[in-house]
Amino acid sequence: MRHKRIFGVATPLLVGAALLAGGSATAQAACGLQSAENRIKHIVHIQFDNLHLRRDNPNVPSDLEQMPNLLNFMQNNGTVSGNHHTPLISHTATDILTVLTGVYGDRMGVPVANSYGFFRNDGSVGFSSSFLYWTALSADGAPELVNENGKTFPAPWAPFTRAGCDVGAYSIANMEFESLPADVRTVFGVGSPEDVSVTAALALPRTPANAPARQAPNTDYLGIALHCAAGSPLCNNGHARTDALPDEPGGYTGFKALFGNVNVSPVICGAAPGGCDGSGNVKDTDGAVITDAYGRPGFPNIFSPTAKQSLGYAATMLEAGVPIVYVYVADTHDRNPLPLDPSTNLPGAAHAFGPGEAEYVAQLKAYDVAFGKFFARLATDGITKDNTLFIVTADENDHFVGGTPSPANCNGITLPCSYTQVGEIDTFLDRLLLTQRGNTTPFDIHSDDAPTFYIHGNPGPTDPLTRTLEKDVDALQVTNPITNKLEKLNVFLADRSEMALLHMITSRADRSPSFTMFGDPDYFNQNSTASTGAGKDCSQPPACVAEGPGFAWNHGDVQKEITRTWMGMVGPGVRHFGRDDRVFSDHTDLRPTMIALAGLKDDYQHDGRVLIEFLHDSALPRSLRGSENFLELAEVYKQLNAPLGSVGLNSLVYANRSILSDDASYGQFLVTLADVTSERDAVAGEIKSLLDAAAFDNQRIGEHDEDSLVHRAHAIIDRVEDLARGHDHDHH
Amino acid sequence: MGRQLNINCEPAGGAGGLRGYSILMAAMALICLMAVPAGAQVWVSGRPDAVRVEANNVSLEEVLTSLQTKFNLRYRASGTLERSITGSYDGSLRYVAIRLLAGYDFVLKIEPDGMEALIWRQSRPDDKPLVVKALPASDNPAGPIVRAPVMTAAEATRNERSQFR
Repeated sequence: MRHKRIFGVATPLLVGAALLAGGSATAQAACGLQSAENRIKHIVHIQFDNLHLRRDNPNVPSDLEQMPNLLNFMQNNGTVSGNHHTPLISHTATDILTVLTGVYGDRMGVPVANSYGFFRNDGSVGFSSSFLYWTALSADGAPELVNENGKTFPAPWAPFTRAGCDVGAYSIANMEFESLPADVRTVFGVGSPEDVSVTAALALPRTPANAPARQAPNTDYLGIALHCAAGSPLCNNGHARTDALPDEPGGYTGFKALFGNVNVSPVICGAAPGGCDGSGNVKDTDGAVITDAYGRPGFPNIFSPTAKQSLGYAATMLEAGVPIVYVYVADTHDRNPLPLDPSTNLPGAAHAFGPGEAEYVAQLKAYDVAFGKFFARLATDGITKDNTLFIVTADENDHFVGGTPSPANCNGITLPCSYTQVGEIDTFLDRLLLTQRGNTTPFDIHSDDAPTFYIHGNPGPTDPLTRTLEKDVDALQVTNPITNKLEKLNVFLADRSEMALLHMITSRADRSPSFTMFGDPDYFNQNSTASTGAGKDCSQPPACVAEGPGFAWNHGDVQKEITRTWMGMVGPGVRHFGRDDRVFSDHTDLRPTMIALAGLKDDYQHDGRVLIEFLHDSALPRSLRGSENFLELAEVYKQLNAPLGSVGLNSLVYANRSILSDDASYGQFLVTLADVTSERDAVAGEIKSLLDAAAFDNQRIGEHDEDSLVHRAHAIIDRVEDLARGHDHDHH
Repeated sequence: MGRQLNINCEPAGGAGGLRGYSILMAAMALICLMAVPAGAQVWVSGRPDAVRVEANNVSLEEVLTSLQTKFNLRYRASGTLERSITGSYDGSLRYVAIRLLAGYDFVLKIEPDGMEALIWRQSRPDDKPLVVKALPASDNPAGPIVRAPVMTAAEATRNERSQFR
């Protein structure tokens, strides 16, 4: 039975908001979460960027260990897993969108991030940002979040708003405006007053004096949104616009949303004035108004909100009666915020820290304080682990690139660490190829430690141009400026057939890279430009290989330290296991787990599965309670279908070896891998159907189905393991 | 990976809009069966609120025929529409149609099941269009939908690095 929303302490404030906005207090939305015993009244999803559970230096407590207010909250009241994984590539936008949707990039359109290339009809290459508003069109003209049918993937807020629950988003990927003026035009329209004002501000000359005015539209419109339930008083005002989701299955009409701080803050400050100053500006957890670098209240900066900012805004949304809040928090191993450079009046140069550096430790301390205040404030509001589901994760982890710390026994806490070398090693791949291989094939790459290559003209996988470039890329060797050792850049090459197995090929053929190089994670690979020596060999400046001090934490790649991240869950229905790494999970699993606990249902099949190992039976539908069949099927499914599972990792070994072999062997590989992928997709598809039906349609998984599918899945897992070992003469 | 055909030979989105236009459909079928002249191409994709047209040295009539097939843009013209079209057009069907018909005297009628263009003549160079009337489309009152800006690889890298994500 659907229950009525109970606003608790927020009720009087909401009445105030409704009256302020000229609406009716009787029009309050009834949030119909249908959790077991109706215990979940709120959901708080906290998405970190690159915050680590594990230690980067064995002597230095990890990021989370330095944040006991958060770590203890999760471990004492719920479950924390350090056996949680990213998809591939393991980069922020792809990772967060996988969390938000519960599907891999091949089904939601963004397997390469934070920008991706696409081929035009003439074979030339353009790039689009992976961060755009949910319904935006990519630079390639297709929906940014394109699904298997060419439509925009269903929005993560739709099941909640349909159930009568408002959904707040703060800096989380693509649920709010990400790019101006594109997103303003998508939602408000070309030529709308918002478009005109934003475009005019962004068109101002780039002078120091104009910097605040050029920043203003970002502060006003980026990073914050409130998607309302039908009839919600929070959207019954002039700030609200139609929440258009034209491709949403089953239609989506009658819903409104607030976009940007200029529209959200007046409404939530009306409803929750305690979280704001007297002028209607939202405050951080320290009580200071959240502003940009120039003091303008609003979204503080370009998607690097600190914990006190994100949590301050989230708390105010919750206090305003928004029951579902998604919030993103920036990492702590980069200086944040960056002080303004007096000569430009813009944020200064990036600065990365090594583990245990004093400023890094201080930033973590500030984060810990913010979480302490956040949980205490919510408890005062009556928002606690007893009525709120908290899901916390980090998009990916990183590989630290730098020298050894000094002193060698530093721990960061009582003995700070310092470094003479901090910074990833930047390469110019095109110039290295020219120098070492004489290869001048024109191509573009998405710059990364796992760069995706887009060969101009879009030749196929067996084209000699592609084959030669792949082999030449593999042959590249450079001297590591930190260790002075000669190293290969490539670790694993993945061609299009392998990328398909890894869920990196979308329904848009134009977005398919020619191939990907999963590389040595010490390196950040780029192509040169006119100012960095394009067309020049490596005997000429600037150097083809150099350490760049601004960035030291590499991700995107396949290594365990990058792809093995963590997640924590607290709330009704979640077991109190503390730290528990027994279960292999990945980002696709969080969405179905959240939706199942909330008693709702998505309009599509997830690639992930409900993590019932961490949940009380009483919180689960009967079809999942004590279901050994579900568990066994789910366990083998992850090894079969997850990019970081057994099949994914073994196939990379097989693919890399085959790509570098002769054409006949490569041809055999293409046939074999196509067969493997087809079989994998078929079995995974059957398993997904059963897992989702058990979780959301109360259909128990039978012994026969489980036995049969586990057997078939193991056959594929074993087959790919054999292929990785070199048993290529596969006669399956 | 396969690319889309240069000539759009897919069935039109709304079957109802095809009634009364059998001659045009036959012409379209003929175009689909014929070899495409080198360099002359029209490529239509998207959906009514986000149409994309890429044309290379084709007549306006061919472009409109493709739009009719795909999006139920019906049209009637008092003469031939031979003006050569080359370029990319993005936006709602209404927006794209208006851009394509620039330089003609026309009326654009937006109806529940599609859109109809009545085209009289090509304007003289010093003319302003005789009639331009486009009723607002109910599905996209804000006007054309825009694509995100295309970046170069270097711009994409700079953009990513400025955000620390």
